[in-house]
Amino acid sequence: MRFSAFGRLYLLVAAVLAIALLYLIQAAGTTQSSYEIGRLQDQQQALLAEQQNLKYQEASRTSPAQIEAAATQANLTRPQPYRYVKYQDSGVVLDGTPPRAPDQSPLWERALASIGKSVTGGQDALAAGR
Amino acid sequence: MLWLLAASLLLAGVIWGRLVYWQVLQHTRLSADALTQYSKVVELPAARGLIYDRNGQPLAINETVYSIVVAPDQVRAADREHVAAALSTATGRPIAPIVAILASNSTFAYIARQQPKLVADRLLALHLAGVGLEPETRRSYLAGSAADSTLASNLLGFVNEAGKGQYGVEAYYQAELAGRNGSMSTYQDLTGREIVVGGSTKKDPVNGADLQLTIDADIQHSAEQALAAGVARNKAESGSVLVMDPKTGAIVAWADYPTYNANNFGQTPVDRFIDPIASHLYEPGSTMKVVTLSGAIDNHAITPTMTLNDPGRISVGGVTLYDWDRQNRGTVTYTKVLESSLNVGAVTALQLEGNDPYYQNLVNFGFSRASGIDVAAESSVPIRAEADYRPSEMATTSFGQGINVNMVQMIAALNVVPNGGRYVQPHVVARVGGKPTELSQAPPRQVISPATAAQMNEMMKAVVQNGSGSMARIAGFEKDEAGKTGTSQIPVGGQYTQDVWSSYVGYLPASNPRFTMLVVIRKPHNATWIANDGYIVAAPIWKQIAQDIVLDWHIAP
Repeated sequence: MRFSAFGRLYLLVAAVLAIALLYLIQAAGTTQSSYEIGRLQDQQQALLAEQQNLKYQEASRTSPAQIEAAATQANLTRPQPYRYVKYQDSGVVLDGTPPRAPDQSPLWERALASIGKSVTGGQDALAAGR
Repeated sequence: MLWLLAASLLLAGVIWGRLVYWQVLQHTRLSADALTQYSKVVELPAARGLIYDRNGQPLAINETVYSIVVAPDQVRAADREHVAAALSTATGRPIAPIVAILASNSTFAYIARQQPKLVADRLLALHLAGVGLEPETRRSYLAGSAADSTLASNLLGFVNEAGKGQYGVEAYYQAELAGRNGSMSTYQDLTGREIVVGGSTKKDPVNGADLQLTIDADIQHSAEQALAAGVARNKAESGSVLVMDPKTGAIVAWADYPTYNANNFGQTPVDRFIDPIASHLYEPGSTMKVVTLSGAIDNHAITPTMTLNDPGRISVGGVTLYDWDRQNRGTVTYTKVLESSLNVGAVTALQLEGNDPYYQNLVNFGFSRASGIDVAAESSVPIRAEADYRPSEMATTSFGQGINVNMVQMIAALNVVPNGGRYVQPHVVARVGGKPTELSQAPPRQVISPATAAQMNEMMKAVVQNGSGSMARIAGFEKDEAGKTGTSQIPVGGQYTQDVWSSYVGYLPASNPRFTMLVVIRKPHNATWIANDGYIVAAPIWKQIAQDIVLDWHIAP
């Protein structure tokens, strides 16, 4: 395809214009993006500021002075210093032989056991070994 | 026709000449002017590090506040009254000065500085012409227990308008807390909006490191409360409390009264900023006998059961020194000397020990140099060279008169006894940016033997059980608590006055100490001189705080 001299000139001008237009579109887009980045940075700063202020509020609310004020408002008082119950001797010998519990078995069983013990002997010693 | 050509050429020449002038000759200047119009360097401020207590409770925080600014030339005359009324309502300032500012027709003026976000939000909602907000960071501190005070203000210090730490920890750790500001070189459009991309160079800021203190905010609060009440009860000029972990030297509480509001430092008298604990010196009085007797026992000059004759006075170098009540007590043991705080006993112990070992003992207990605590502006007067002391002067140091120390030096010295004879480095900052500080890692130094420390421990227990420490007894710990009182006259112009420093040092439990505490009250003004004594003035304050620590830390006997 052949173009006349004017045709080539028009084509060249059109190409240059197209490139310039594309450049302008891209530059405008870039600038727009930069504004968006700037806006987001401002927003980030605002959120960081908000976060800082919330941190301060949180710290203030958990501060000892604030807790004390809230406790006073709720009629809470400080606990009394520790009180200790002194050890009193109960009379129980912990490392001695435990006292025998009263035998609760029926009378006939105890009588039978007594007879058996007198005949065989050593039943108690056997029981203590368990 | 020729003249037309000539005129055209002349005109073209003028135009081309101007073009050459602006484009070539003035190129450098115009380029520079243009650059200043569309380029700008924005400072990226580093965030100052926060300060936390040992349990992670924030003590110093950065808060965003707002300066309210106006451009009076952009406010129409008809709107001035309305804008001024809105600004007055939002900020609580009188309307007349605001109207005057708006009428000035200047380009910029501040209406109010450091306003909270609530005020800023209220103003934003009004969309006032010519009114703007400038965010800035302000250091904020927690409320203290006394009215119009902030927690641990003398310890923490504050940050001035220029962002520089003043006094206390804020000043000492300024470099670490401040960080390093960054910057960004960028372009702006005609309206001043920033064009972020394209040829900008950025240097990120390095934020300041957070500090973790050894302070316990709850104990600090208790100490401030008890101290304020104690100072008021005894009509004293001021008072201070120092609580230390005996094994590590970590400071748990650092309280002063009166103190100040660090959030409002601009309205505070400058002398209130000076921290009495590290920056004021005092004569420790009889608490010094712990040091004297420790050295004498360690050098085998005395024992706790050894006896001496105490007639209530002793002459040294031609000067007569007295016991506090000048009574003749006859034969007493050295345990009794500590229990009843007898000056004659302390002087005798020095004499039996000898000047050289006694002096060396003072050096070993840390009185020849500052404590090195990590708080700004520590003051200290190192003890003089041994040869510079007259015999009577050396003798008075044995019971804590004629020797100047700060409270940090004193608690560190007295803590040698509960810590098995070891001196530990006092410090208030445990970590900077998560890393342990050098001071907190300093190895302990053996000053007296563990056996001597154990003997002194028994003697200091006897002070609480039988002697002047009875007012500090805590239920459940009567047999497991150690302490010593101190009362020293305050010199003015080279003469001792009737004003005193009243003090009490103690630790608990004596068998396995969890804390050492020193209370110093300056110039109590009770009805009688004896009522200003350390055991009446300082010991009850010590007891009050110790009870809170026992409860808070769940210390069982």
